[in-house]
Parts: sequence; structure tokens; C-alpha cells
Amino acid sequence: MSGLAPGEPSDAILLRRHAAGDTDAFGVLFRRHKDRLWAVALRIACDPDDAADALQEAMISAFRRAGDFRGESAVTTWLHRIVVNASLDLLRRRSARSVGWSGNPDDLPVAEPRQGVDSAASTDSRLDVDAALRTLPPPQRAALVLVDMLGYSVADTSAILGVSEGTVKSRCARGRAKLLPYLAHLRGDFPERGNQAVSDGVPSEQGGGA
Amino acid sequence: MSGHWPPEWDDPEEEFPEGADQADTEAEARLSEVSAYLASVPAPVLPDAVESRISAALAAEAATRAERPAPADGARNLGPAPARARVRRHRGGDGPRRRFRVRPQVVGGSLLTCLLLAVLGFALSHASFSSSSSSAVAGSAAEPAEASSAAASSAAGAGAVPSAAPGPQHAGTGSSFVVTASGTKYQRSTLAEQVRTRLGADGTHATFGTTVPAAGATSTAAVPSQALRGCVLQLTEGVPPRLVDQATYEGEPAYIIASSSRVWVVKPGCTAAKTEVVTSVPLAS
Repeated sequence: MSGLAPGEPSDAILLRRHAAGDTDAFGVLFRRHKDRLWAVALRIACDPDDAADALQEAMISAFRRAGDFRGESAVTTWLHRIVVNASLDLLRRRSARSVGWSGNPDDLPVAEPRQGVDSAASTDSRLDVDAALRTLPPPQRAALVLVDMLGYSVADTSAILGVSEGTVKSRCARGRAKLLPYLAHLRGDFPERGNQAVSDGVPSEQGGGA
Repeated sequence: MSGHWPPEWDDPEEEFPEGADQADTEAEARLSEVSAYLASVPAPVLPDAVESRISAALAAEAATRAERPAPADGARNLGPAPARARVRRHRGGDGPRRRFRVRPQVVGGSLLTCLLLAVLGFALSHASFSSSSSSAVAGSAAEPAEASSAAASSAAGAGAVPSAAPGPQHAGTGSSFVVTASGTKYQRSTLAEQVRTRLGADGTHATFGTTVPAAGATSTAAVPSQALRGCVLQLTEGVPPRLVDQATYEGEPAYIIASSSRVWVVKPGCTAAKTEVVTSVPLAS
């Protein structure tokens, strides 16, 4: 992982130390990636309370399974995969209880495309984005969040979600198409083409080229 | 992964169609605007309250793991020796036994004989009040630590990691408890308050030992399964819980477990090896 201060242990070293009995190592790892992991959980769960539950469940799971990590992927990829799975599991349980959503995307309460709003209001824009994301099936949402919002490459997203790169591209493309009507009124705010990588050392390589 | 999802979550055309990359450059440009806009949305920051909660949960998990018997796999050994010493201190049951081990080495034989006779007499009299206990001298608090050592030896001898079964480490009646089924609909926002209410309704003694809930309690009581018993004692570090309530949490079936300082919500399948904690909050008085 880049961006580490000199002498600061890498993620893999921290995980090994944790597995070997270092009681502080996992906490350091969690604090290092907490905001990014939170973003994943929040964007997929679309609810702060659910996201908190999912993230907690994921971190405890990672804590327990650290000894199973074989280094076949980056530690961050492994952590993200656990958070994504915990978030989707939570949504699956919610879906099974038929709370608010039948499972059919067409039945979802959708945010009305708004006309004539003050698109410069960033809070409104974020709310629009949140509402729009809710209209996507969770797996599609997860792919779009990872690629477009968090700046992961298609290859990394493929590894995190455990699906092929083609599937990631497909989900991203369909997700963007579904979001377009809901975000059309914000087109004046749309930046130039090209994803904006977030600032905490995430791979800047972008994918999803659909 | 998609195979585990509800069918409604799957897209009918999951794979990216060949040639779609160049299908419609105008549409592509519009979609890329969506992509760019999403990328411009600031990433949220983990709220302090959530961070504190998760850090506390991880600390509790670390404490729980530190108590477990040393696994055969050295890579997962989280230092059981100091942890076990700490657990014994918390459980407060090691003192008397250590006294009886050490004193015979420094006192005369007659004093030793007197002490042994006194202990034997006490044990026999205590055993007469407890039909099933086999370790009356150690008392309820000391028993899990002692039994845990036996379980550790057993697991090490078998070369096995701890299994899903609760094992014998919490089998004594000294740490037994009953499970109430209040039917309370626990909610995330009021969990601690609801537990305090339950404790007030049933009486804090309701789940200790082999007693049953106090008269007038609204719930029924039952003996826990071995799996649940292992789960509970794993979370409470062998200390008898103040409350184990079979109920619902956020609409989902769950067990609500309370110690003197903390509340856990676990899924019905909770075991000692897999505690299935849904959430955990402090039980502030």
C-alpha cells in the first residue's frame, strides 16, 4: 500500500501481527481504512444504521478470519469483500422481510427527476445521488459504488465482488443507465469526463469503461 | 456470489454484451457523465460514534478470543497464557485453591491435615445441598476457568481447534442460567433501556443459578440448549448472565443477553465457537 509513513507497517504485516497475537494490530488496520470501508457499507446499505451494523459485523468477521487470509489478494481487497458481503447479507435479510422493497427494481419508490432545482446545492445533490442509488438492485449498486464512487478498477472490483470483469462492466453500465434520469437535472454539475480518485491511497486506475 | 441472492437481484443480462463498448458513442458519453458525477460525490467519513462502537466491539472480541483455549494452530494463538491469568483474576476463584496448594509446602504436617479435613468437611456438607455439582469447593465463579483448562487440554490432546459445540468448559451448574421468552420487540435505538426494563421486570436474580424468574414475571423460563449455553458464557466470559431473553431484535428472532455491564444481541444459531453477534451495546445504569 502506498502512502505509508516510513516505518509504518503495511496492511499485510498488521494482519500477520494480529494473527500472531498482537492485540493492537487489527485496530490500526481498521482505523487506517475505516472511512473507505464505511463508504462502501453506507453506499450499499443506503442507511447509516444498517451500514454501521454491516461494518461492525464485517470487522468482527475479519478479526476472526485473519488467520485464513492467504495473501492471494491485497488486504484492502479482502476487507472490502467482507464489508460488501456483510452489506449485501444485511440487505438480503431485509429483503426477505419484505420491508420497503419487493425485490423488483421496478417496484421501488423512486426519486422523481426534479426540474428547475438549484443544482448547486451540494446537499441536495448528495441526497439525489443517495435516492438514485437506492433504485438500483444491490449487486448493481455495489459495482457502481466501487468503480465510480470509490475509484476501484474493474479488475479490483471483480475480485472484491467475486464476479467476472464482464459482469462488473455490465452492472456498471446498467447502473449508470438507470441513474441517468434521476441525475439528469444535475448535468450542469457534472465534471469533465474521468473519474476522480479519492485521496486516501486508493488506486487511481479507473475502470468500468462501459 | 450471485447464486446466493434473491432472484430479483440478478440482472437478466448479466454479462456485458460483446461489442457494447462501441454500440452508441452518444449514449456512452452521457453515461460517462454519470460516472464522472458519481466520482465527484465526496466520500462519507465514519462517524465517531460508529467508530467507537466498532472499536468497542473489536475490543470485546479480542478479550473473548484471548480467553479461548490455545488452538493447535500456532498461527492463531493469541497469547492464552496471560489472558488465562487475567480471566482467573476476574473470576476470582483461584485464590482458595492456590492457598491450599501452597500452604502445605510451608507449614507442618499436622496443620496440613487439619486444613484438608476442614476442606473435606466443607465439601461434603456443601455437596449435600447440590445434587449435581461436582466441584462444590471452587464455587460458581471459579468453575469455568478450571473447566476451561480441562477443555484446553482435551482439545490440545485431540489436535483439534475449538468446535462449534460448546464443549465441557461451561457444563457446571455453578454458571447455569435460564432463558426467558418475553416476546419483547427489542429495537436498536432503545435496546439498553428495554433490557433494563426487562431486568426490572424479572428481577436481576432471575437467570442466576438454577432459579426461575421472580413471581409476576411476564416471561416463561427454560433451560438453555448446550449451544446457547456455550454462546452465552463465551460472551460473558463465563460469568452467569443477568438476562437471556428469547425475543426479536429489529423484527428478527434473536437472543438478548445481558451481563452487568453489557448487552449482546445474537442470532438464534449462536454457539461458543460462532457467537453470531448482531450488535453489542453497553448497559449503562
